[in-house]
Amino acid sequence: MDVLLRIRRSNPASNEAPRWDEFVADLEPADRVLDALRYVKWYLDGTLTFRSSCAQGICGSDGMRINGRNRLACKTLLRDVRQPITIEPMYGLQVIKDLVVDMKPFFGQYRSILPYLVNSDPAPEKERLQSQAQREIFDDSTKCILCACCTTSCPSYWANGAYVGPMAIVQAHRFLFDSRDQATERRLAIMSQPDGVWRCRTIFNCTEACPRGIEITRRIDEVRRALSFGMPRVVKDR
Amino acid sequence: MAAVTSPQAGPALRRGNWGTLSYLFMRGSGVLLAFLVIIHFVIQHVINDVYTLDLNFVAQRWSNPGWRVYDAFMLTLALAHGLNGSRIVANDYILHPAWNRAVNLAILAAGLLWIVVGGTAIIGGVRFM
Amino acid sequence: MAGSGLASIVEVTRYRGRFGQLDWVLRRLAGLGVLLFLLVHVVDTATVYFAPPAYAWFINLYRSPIFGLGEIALGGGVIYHAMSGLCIVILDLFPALWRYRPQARLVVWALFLAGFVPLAAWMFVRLVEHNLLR
Repeated sequence: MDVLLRIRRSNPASNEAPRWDEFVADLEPADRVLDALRYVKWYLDGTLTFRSSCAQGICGSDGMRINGRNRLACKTLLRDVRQPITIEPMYGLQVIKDLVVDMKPFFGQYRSILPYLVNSDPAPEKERLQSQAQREIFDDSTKCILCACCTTSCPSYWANGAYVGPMAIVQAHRFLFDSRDQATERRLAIMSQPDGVWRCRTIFNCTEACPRGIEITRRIDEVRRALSFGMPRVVKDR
Repeated sequence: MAAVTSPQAGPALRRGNWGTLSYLFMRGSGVLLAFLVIIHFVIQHVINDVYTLDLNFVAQRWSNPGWRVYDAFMLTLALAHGLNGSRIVANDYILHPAWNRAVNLAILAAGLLWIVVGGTAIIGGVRFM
Repeated sequence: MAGSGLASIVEVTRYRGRFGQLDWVLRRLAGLGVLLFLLVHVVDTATVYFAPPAYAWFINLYRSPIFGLGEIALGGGVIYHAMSGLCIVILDLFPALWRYRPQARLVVWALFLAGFVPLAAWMFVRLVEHNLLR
């Protein structure tokens, strides 16, 4: 079938003004938006620039705004989006070219929340054990693939790029609520900064944009509750 | 945001800071105000209306000290909740540090001034001239 | 790029957020609107002590049809802001209810309409009575 695409083209390195390009691609309804982008690049306009890698929704490379909502191009079926399919880069991160955005600030925010387990106890013979209940409590936030769909859908982040963003809070949650981690106080201190968790306005765009189905706003609220009332006992009892 | 250079570096712990306070206050005061304000609105605009409102009405209502306490409580909570909300909105959009600080101070000043004005009127009551 | 407040407001109109975004926008606008009214209202009520003759002037103003409609809008703003805010508080207090988050939209709107429609109808009837049938 014929698929009509409207793609936002821009090249800040050159002097060209940004513009909208229209393409018609010949694809199947069960194909993905990524297939359409590849069709354009391979057969119609080789200068179209976008990121992609696994093409199956796990690497997080091809986050972009499709018909006004952030999603992964490889997970969006053509039959599920209305034509003309409007494709533009995620908003809130600097555009490098076409659909490619500068992820450096995003990963900087990731690094700022100490995204690694901190445990200075002597290493056990095998694993550091935890109960199923203790694992369950942060299971949701382990699913994050760092695709940036959430952070670049957040109006608070659009207004102020210094906001640590939903992704960073989810990642902080993953370690905060992990009973094996011992950096709880430091993590809470990072989260309680003015540009930390308190910038969330419960807008819910993040939860709706997440291609992994993480209940982001809920996890952000759990961090805020931990700051207000203390960590839940199931995490504290190691 | 600068990357963390060593696991030992990091901000000093500020557990119970303004963020927590504001978060809890907006929720607590919000729930209370939902009741206070809706009851107030119903009394002033449904059971009575602006066409029966006059100095006598207010004086009659305030002859019962319970209503004065109610109104004073509602005044303080509503101003605090509303002005804190406006501070949150200002923080979202006014990023320049000096302007942000100025707006925050203006909001605080307005809050204090309005509470004093409103509180004085409630305590002083209706003055028939 | 990010960091421009005005641009972010424009972006809110371009991003097709679902109920969460719309709810936040309405809650924020309603809150600011009610606050603006509150600031004037404290002054007008304070005149009973500071300048009693002025009170009648304010009440006269509020009796005009424009302000009558504004009053109805105010009621709507209060009710919406309250219902939207309460939804968030309830989700905070009872995390088990998160599984019903998709239905929260219906609950907020239902409660809003249940409160606002009768209120608006009642106030509108009174408005017409006093301004047109005299």
